[in-house]
Amino acid sequence: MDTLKRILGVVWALLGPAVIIGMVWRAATELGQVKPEKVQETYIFWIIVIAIFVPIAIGLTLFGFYACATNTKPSSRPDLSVA
Amino acid sequence: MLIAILAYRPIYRQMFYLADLTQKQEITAQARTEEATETKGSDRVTTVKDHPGLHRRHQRGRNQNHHRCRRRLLAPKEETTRYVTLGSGAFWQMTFLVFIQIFFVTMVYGPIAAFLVEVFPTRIRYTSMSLPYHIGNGIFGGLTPYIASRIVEANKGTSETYYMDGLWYPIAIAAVSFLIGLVYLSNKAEYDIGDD
Repeated sequence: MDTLKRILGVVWALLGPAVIIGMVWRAATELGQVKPEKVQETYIFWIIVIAIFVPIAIGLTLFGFYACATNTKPSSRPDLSVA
Repeated sequence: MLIAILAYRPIYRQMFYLADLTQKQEITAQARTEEATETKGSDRVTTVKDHPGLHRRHQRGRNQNHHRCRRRLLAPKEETTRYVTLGSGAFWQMTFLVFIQIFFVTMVYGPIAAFLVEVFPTRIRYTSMSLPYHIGNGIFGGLTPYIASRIVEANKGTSETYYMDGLWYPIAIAAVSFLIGLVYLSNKAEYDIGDD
């Protein structure tokens, strides 16, 4: 299970940057070939999506980093255990 | 959550099918009047037709509509608006499909408060519950209609079932949440959940 957590941690850590790059690439592609009457709504959509999902993707990367770099067993985390 | 991921597309396909006019057999066609109610299968379809000949007749017959008819005469383009009133069988099927989805929501919302309390120790509990809960509800839940309809709009004409493409967004988010929940969360409280 611990191995699976670490492997998936790498996946999440890579998924974050992939999402950011994918969004920016798609936004650039769409804005490059946008029809004149749809310029405004295309800009609004991509500004909203990129502004909101970039921090979330960074969070996903951090989650993946900690999932793969730290030992997730509670016994090894005295800072979090109360008993 | 897994059931929801797997069931979203069949549910919405069925919902679309129930209201899809191309699947239904036409019994009567009354396109002569401006508004016609037709029966198609077990459903009632109200067709409102605007075409140039009709407006000309209106213009002669009713003077109080003069302005409206005159304006429409300048653009003699036929417009048809259709409303579908589902038959009782299809209506109950649609109600059942919506009910299943409400069932999915309650399966998530029911245990969420107790579950989130058990996941985190007391001193970080408020922050760690509030942040994911509000990101989940506010950002993912709130933006879903906007993003899903934008995906449908962008994919229009690319495939036959383009109207279902918006579902990939909630399916993808639910799949990631499901995987993370399955692998990283234990169903036992790992900390003393009482006061410290």
